[in-house]
Amino acid sequence: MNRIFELEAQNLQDTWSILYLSLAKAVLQAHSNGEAALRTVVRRYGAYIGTAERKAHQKGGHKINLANFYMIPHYRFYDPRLCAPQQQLNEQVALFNVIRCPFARMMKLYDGEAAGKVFCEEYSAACIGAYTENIAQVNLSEVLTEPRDTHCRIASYYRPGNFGDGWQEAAFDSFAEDTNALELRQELGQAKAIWNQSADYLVRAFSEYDTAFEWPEEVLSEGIQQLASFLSMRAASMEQPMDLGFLARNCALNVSDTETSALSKELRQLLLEILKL
Amino acid sequence: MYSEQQLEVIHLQDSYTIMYALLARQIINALGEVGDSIVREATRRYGKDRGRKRRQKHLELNVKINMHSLFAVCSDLPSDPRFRRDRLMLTEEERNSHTLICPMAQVWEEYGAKKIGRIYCEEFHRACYQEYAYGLTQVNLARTLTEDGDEYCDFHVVLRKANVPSDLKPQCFAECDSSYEKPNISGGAADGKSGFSSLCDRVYYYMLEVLLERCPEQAISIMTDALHIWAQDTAERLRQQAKELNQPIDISFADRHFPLYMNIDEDTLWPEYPNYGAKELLKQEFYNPLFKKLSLD
Repeated sequence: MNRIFELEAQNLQDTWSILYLSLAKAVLQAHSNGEAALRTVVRRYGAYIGTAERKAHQKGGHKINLANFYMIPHYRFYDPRLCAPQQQLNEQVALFNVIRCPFARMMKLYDGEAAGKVFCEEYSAACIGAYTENIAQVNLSEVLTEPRDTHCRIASYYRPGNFGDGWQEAAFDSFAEDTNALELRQELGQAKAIWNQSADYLVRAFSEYDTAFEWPEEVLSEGIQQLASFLSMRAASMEQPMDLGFLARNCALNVSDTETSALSKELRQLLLEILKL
Repeated sequence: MYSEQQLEVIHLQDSYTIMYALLARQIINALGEVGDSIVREATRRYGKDRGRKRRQKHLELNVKINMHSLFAVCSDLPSDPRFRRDRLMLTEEERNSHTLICPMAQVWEEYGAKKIGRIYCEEFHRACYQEYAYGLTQVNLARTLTEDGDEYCDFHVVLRKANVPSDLKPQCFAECDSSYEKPNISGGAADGKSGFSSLCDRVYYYMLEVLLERCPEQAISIMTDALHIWAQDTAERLRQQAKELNQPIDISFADRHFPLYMNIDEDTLWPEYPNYGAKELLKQEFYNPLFKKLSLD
């Protein structure tokens, strides 16, 4: 049985996924560069997250390496439904098999596997690339957004031998791969803040790519309609009223934040209108 | 049972694999962390060189620069019969394949050089495939037989049309070049001797180049030791192979079963790699001891 906090964390992840898909579909359908634009946006989003993680680790006195990237996340929330057995994780090597991915599931449910696959192909390399200043190598040989694949395989390598001088102070405890047991430092209570920030970065990446782009109202409305329907359905399932409080706890798009871009404002207004709030 | 021709390819392939391990190991043993970094950089330079040459060759043949061409048109090596691959997909945009048996990984394991093999897997493929398509290839090798716990190599190598700038698209995809006429490429399998010889020359050349850049005072002495070790191993292997095949060990046998040309001046690659006295050092510190050990003139 899931606790309310866990359900809220799941809803935050799912609403973020629907938000991505709504914006991605709008770009794919209406932007002159279509897929190329979407790929650039995803790389930009990945770079925002990776750079923010890097700064947070530096500020917190943590070395920049793969163990810390995965175990001390400040800007990425691990959904409780994510099932990703770890084959190896240390400062230099991170090998994961993702058996169940809530993002891929939502892409399938909402007929968005193509847009989802673009995200998978571009995001991790951009994010870990920015985090390690493009020293790490990121490999994704299989992804759950590809119908023929049965799992995602993510393998990253960040080698002191590719780092140059100063590797020890900045990134690694030793040149050899250490195998210390590591514990994830993240709590459910962090979900809301992290997902709000992620949605903000996402909308920012979309709106900054081409400021002259005219967002197609119909496609955008359809996407936000899906977001609203999803939230209403979840509120009903959780036996909670669909009000601003529920929205604040369950929707990645921050409806109370007024200091955001024009696109963000438009999305927020659309959502509140549809939900009659 | 392999044919004699197949055995020659197998021996050429293994010699190349062993040479990489022995040279890399000597550099790492002598220089530790710096050595690791030298081997990685040399492997990348070698990979880029190979990717660039393949691209040049394809452009000369009027072949489009994409994933189908990279993996299916005019390979620079003959196929080693021991490789087992499950080719899942090959299009202009992507190549997905699983390598189930890799003789390189097996040889590295046999030589206690699995970690060195990892360096090769991490650095070579990425550098080579990226360079081939103007740095635009997304190289994903998320499982490798040189990694503990992995049961196959998982290649997902991608060149997305959407990531190729418009000025390069006609060079990469036939559908973006309305006047394109696909060339009729004939010719049999790649020649093993010149193929593997060229690989060995370049691995050695780039290791020497990076060694000289990073550790100029120790470079020649480290490379000399590495070449001696390689010569010793080569002599033993050639003797063993000749014995197994019940053939005399002479220049002709060595030329068929070992990548480097026994007459170094027959190797047409060296004028392209004229620096650092590389050819002379190889002649002096590898050929001479090898010929002596095998009593070859």
